[in-house]
Amino acid sequence: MNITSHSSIFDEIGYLNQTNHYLVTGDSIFARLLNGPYKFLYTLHDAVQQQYTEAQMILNYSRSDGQQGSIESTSPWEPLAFLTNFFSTKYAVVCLVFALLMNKYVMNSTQRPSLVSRGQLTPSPIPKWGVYSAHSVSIFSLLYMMVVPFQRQVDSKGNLDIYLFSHFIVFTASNVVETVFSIQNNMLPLESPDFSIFELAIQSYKMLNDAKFDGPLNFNLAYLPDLTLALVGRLVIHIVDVFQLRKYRLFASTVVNCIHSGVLTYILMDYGASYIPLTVRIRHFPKVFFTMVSLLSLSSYAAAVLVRWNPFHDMPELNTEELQFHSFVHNWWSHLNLTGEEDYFTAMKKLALLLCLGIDSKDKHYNRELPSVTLSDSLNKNFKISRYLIDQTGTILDQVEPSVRFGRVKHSKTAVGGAIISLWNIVVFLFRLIFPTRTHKDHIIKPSWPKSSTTLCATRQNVSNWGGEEQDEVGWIADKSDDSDDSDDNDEEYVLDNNSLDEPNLTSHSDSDSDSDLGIDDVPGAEFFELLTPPSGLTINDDLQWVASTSAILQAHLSSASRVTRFNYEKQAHLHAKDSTDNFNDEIDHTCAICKTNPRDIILWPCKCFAICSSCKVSLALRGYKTCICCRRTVSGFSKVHYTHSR
Amino acid sequence: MAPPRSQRKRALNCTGALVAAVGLGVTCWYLWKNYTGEAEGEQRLSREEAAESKCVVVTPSVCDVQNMVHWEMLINSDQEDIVFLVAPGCHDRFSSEVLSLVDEQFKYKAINCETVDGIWYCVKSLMKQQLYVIPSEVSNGIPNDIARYVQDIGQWRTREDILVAFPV
Amino acid sequence: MSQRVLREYRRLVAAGGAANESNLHPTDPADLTHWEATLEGPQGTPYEGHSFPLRVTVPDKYPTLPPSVCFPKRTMPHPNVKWDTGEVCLDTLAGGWTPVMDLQYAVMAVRRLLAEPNPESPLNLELAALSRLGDHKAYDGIIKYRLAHSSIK
Repeated sequence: MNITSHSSIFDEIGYLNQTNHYLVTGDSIFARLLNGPYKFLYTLHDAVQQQYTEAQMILNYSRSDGQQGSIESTSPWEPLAFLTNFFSTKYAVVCLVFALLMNKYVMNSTQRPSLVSRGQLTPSPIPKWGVYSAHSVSIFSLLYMMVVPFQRQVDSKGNLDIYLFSHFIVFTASNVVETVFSIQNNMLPLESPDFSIFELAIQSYKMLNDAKFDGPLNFNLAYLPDLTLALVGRLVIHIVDVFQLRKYRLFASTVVNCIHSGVLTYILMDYGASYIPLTVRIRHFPKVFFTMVSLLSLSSYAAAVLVRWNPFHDMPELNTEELQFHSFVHNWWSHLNLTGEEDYFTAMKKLALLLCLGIDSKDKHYNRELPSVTLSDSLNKNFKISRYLIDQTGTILDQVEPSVRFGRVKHSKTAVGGAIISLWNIVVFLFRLIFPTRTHKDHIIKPSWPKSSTTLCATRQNVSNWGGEEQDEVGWIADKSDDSDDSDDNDEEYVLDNNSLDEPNLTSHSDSDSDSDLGIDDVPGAEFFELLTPPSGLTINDDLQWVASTSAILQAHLSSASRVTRFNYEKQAHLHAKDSTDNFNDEIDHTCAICKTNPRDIILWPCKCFAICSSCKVSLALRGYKTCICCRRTVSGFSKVHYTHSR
Repeated sequence: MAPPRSQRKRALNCTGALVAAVGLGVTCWYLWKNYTGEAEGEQRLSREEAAESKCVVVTPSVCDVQNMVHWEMLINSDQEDIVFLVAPGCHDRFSSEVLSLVDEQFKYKAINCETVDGIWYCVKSLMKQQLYVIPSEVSNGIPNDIARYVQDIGQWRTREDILVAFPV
Repeated sequence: MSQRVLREYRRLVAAGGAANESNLHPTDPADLTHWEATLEGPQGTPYEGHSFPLRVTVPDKYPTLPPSVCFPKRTMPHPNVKWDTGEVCLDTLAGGWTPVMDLQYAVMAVRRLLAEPNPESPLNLELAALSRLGDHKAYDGIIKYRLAHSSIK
């Protein structure tokens, strides 16, 4: 019984049965020790082989209806052999030689003393006619290579091989020419991320390999655009170099890439996705992906603008300027910070990254604050979240009417989310166009804020409590809490957009138009800024005055024996006021209370202690501090202060 | 002529083993020395302090024998490590009869206790070797855990016991 | 960390002797991890008239970690100081530490501890018990005895 079941298993899964393989005969312990692993390895080998043959069979079925059995049975090591064979081809050799030579050349030339003083063009040792002739030779050979496949049918295997290799050589030569001349002229050689010679080498090798099975048909359709793209890319670089038009390279590259994408799409539509070979797909996926991300984001922005567009001008709240992406979209070119010499791919990558990460990282300042520190998971979240009132925001958002919410949050991180939201917005917009009722308008313009007003009052109450200690600043805080009732849309902004509250720019300007200087046009933190600074009546002579007022409290805390209570502090403050307040301020140093080295630039919330610098904040967070180092209140967030002007 | 390879190898092995053994021995000796040295120092210190250290709880009867024992002689002595814990009712009497005769620099050897519990905490804190006390004159007697803090409890019952303990 | 300690050292030197009443100084100016201070017994306490050396060790992670302070062993009879080791139990130098405080603050905190013992977190159980019991004469007497006894030896 037992034996039969065993044998049936072995029948089914043959690779488990390795009893007839052994290294050492006999049944001793030594023999078993040796034979065990040996049999195991055999099992593994057989298992892999079986898998592979099965996969190959399926592949053969799907690939060739007519020429079944034309492919001889392949060994499981064939992919490996395919890979290793590459290194013995002429492509690999050319790649290697090119890489060695160019590296050596670039290294040598960058170490030349004449290059240290950039800006002045060193007279190039190559005469002008030489440069031009080399360029023109490259251009003509590139053009010739582009024309060849249309003139002659590249069908037979040998023919294809010759064509591919000459294509590759022309490409490499063009690379060499361009690199050498750029370095000679103290310029960076133009990168061509469309194809590096290594990628081209691999692709050519793969093409040859594929041609073994498929013949030239597949080559012509799927590979030709790629080969042409590689040539055109080089051609553009040469032309741009010869005519000194480097800054138009991006434009040309964009046009070329768009045409290429169009051709690829045409092939995709006509012949199906399986027709496009793997290397081509991998090659162009990032480019397509970035393009798609950018297009989606921009179209969702366009949809948001469309929702806000209204021909009757009776809804002033819904103008496009309050969109968070507004400033980005209007200045997208300057945001990209391109010279025009870049490739289409580079530009697109940058744009997509900005669109996806830009807002997020701008809000949280991860990139700016933690350039080198990798945050551990044990990091106290309170130090990580750079938001004030995060809890309040959450509760309020839940109660907001969905239409308003979508309108506001449409600049969500993911482009897909943005697209869905803008779709919804369009539906709402159409709905409103069809049924222009009054109720809808009220709905959107004046949302009810059942909880927000109370929360706001509460937070402001806190503020005025603390402000009581800074005697001359009581007034302005009290002022603030008064107008919380009559300015609804202000409140709305205050609560909803406090993602971006953490960008108070303390500047030395304090006159009436200081708002524009503070970059508040894209950061709706104006109210927050007012929280931090006295009203216009009390002008800030010194951007550190606020610092000084806080450090007085800190000083009192440190100098007194016990913890400073409000009562104690007021007593002390009176005493000091009698002596001389100016003396007191002069003694304070504005360095971080922890390291005493960096300037203070972190305000902790909700205690508003302004005593530490960002690097100490990180080290505190890593050590798991949960409370403010000055007043021991639990920290729920922080704001970073950027000095735009220092003494 | 070089010795055969196997012989050389064995010699090498022997040397290695020897070095290892010596190293181990030195390490053990060093550790042991450190350990015992520390323990010795500790013991020496406590023994020295407890050598003849005495702690006397001053109760009325103890004051009564002042004429015979002359406590101030004991207190004034540099050699004698003795401390007097004066029980609540005896402060004035002890200070007038004994402390008035004591040099200023040795007055610290008398500790006035306001409570009986205080006496016992003092005993525990001082950790003297000998404790002399007349249990009948201390309310509630001697607590059980005192035995852990002193090496020997001299329980006096009569004045004669005192005279035996402190022969003039 | 060295930066911060160095700054404190400079400040102490700059402030001069008057500001540094407990004479806080590094044992070796080349190595700022070991400091010494001398605490005068506060007035009105049994410690009056005595002075106590205090050793301050600055950890690597200072100021995120508090400095550790220690009296020489068997010199400090105090409810919050372990008699046999001189180890000090002080909230300021444990959970209550914040990096805002500095070495001088820590020394001052120890000095305050001499005047205001905290019998709730004792390291010297008997003294703390005496203090809780309210037997001040016995408490003071023990401290004076210890101080005089150890100084004679």
